Order: sequence, then structure tokens, then C-alpha cells
Amino acid sequence: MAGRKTAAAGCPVERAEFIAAAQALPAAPAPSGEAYWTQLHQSGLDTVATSRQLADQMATLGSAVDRIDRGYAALDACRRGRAGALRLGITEAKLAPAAGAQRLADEKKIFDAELAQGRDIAGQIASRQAILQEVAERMVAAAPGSSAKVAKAVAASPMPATPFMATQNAEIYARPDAGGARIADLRKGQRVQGPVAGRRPAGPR
Amino acid sequence: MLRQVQPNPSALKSAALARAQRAADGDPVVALVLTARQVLPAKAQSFASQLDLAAGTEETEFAAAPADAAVQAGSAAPAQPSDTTPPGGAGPIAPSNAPAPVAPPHGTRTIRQRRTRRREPDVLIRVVAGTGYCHGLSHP
Repeated sequence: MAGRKTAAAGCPVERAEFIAAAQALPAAPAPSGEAYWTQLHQSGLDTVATSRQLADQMATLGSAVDRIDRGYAALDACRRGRAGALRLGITEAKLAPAAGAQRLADEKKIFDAELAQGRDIAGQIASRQAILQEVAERMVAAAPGSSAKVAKAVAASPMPATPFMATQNAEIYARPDAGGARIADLRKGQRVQGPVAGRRPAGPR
Repeated sequence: MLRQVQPNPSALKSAALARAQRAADGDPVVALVLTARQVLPAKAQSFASQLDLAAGTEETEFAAAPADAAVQAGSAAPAQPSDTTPPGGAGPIAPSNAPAPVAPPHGTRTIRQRRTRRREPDVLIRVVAGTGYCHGLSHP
């Protein structure tokens, strides 16, 4: 019981900041991208004013996501630090193994709850991002000549390769065929640069 | 088998913003759509990747017995407390006694990166020019 209380009391500053960051996430401007587009269309704003409003909303969302990201990183580091201290206590026999294991389990429970909270927030971020993106895409489609400009800008400035992490030991081949030259063995946790996110990153299974 | 991650989320986010501004060339609508397509997804991905990494290493971090933790993590090397908890609380992504990666042949290079964030691996293999394929790779 005492251990549970200790765990629950842990990381108060980090937890408070993470919660505050999550609460600062701007509300969705409308239930869907289509609804928001209609709303903007009916507001009578011209393209420049609409794009400025959307840019402000994107900047606000981006700042909120950055703060949430930092907040979770600090909270996560704090929880792991506490777990590390408990493990060290067990290793150095300063803490009875059973009591230490119980306290680690308590910490893990809190960590899991915070992780679930993080995933919930990530879902909210994705939802808001999707709404803004849909409206931006509709703006481009509606503005004459913008589609071509966007295509040119995207072509001129491709996204860099996307990093991936091996979730288990893996073999990398030079072409999408297991008969191709094997160029690397990856161990679990190792990272590689893969094709840009959104494209099919690899060859056959 | 491979999960999308960001080895340096802060740099990637800044790079996405700079790239979008440069490519927009002053056009507000183009800037907007590039921000929507690149900058915001990079930020959201950064957070999602962080959660994935946190979930991927939690069993080891919160395990009372290091040996059990190593088995759960799929590591061939027995985990020692000093390996599993390096200074700063980083996880056991790249234990010092883990097998070294195979030296990449011509067309690839290995980069040793400075850690910019917790739980970063210390080795990153870059497969250049999009020539790398992972057999059995699933889309993240």
C-alpha cells in the first residue's frame, strides 16, 4: 500500500505539465473536414484570409503537439528513472525483491495508464490534423493553378527518407526478392532509413 | 518487422517546416497545403513514434528480473543492470555486448549518431538511393 502511494505520488511536475499540455490541445474547429470547409465557405472570407486563418490554426496545433511531445518525454523519462532506481535497489539488496517487484508493478501500471492517455491524445491530434489537411487540400483544389504549384513544390522538395526501427531481427536485401544480395542483418531495435512515409517501403514478403 | 520511427524528431520537424516554406515560394495556399501534408504529420509522427518506443521497451524497463527482461525483449545477450539502464534512463536498445551489425557493402554506409533523445540506438544503417529492401517487411 505504501509502495502504491509512493508510485502514485511520483513525477508530479512532469505529470502536471503533460496534462496541461494535453488540455491546451485546440478543439476541433468542426466535426469533420467537410463540415469545416462548408463553414469556411459560408463565412465569406476570401482565399487569403481563409488561408491565414488555417495557417494560424495549424501553427497553434503544431505548438500544442510539440508541447505534448516534450511533456510526455519528460514524464516517460521520470517513470523510467524511478523504475531504474527500484531495479538498482533490488540489485544492491537495499530493497527486498518481493517489495521491489511490487513497486515496479505499481510503476508499470501508472506508466501503462499514461501511455494509454498518450495514445488517446495522439488520436485526437490525428483527428484535428486530418480536418485541417482536408480543408487545405480542398482549398488547393478550388484555387485555380494551385494544384500545379503544389505538385511543382512537392517535386522540388521531396520528403527525406523515413527512419524505421526493426521490431525483430531482420535481413535486408538489395532488391525486393529474397534471392537478391543480402546487404545487412538488423538486430531488434536497430534503425534504417527507408522510403518516404506513405509509400510502400519494401519488397515482397 | 520494421516500425517507422524518427531518430531525431526535432530536426525532422524543423526540416519539414523549412522545406515547406522554401518550396511554397511565398504562395500562401501552397504553404498551407505543404504544412498540412508535411509539417503537422511530422510533429504528430514524432509523438506517435515516442509512444511506440515507450511501449516497445516498457517490459524490460519495468521488469524486476533483468534476465527475464532480456528474454522478453528478444535479446540474445543477458541484460545487466548497467546495460539496461544507461545514464539518463535510456532503454536497452543497443546493449554493448549485442552482435555488431554486418558491415554494409558498396552503396551503403554506417553512421554513428550522437544521441539526441532518450532510447535512441547508437547505430543507424542508411541504405542509400532507395536500394534497400527488407524481406518480410510490413508497412508501418
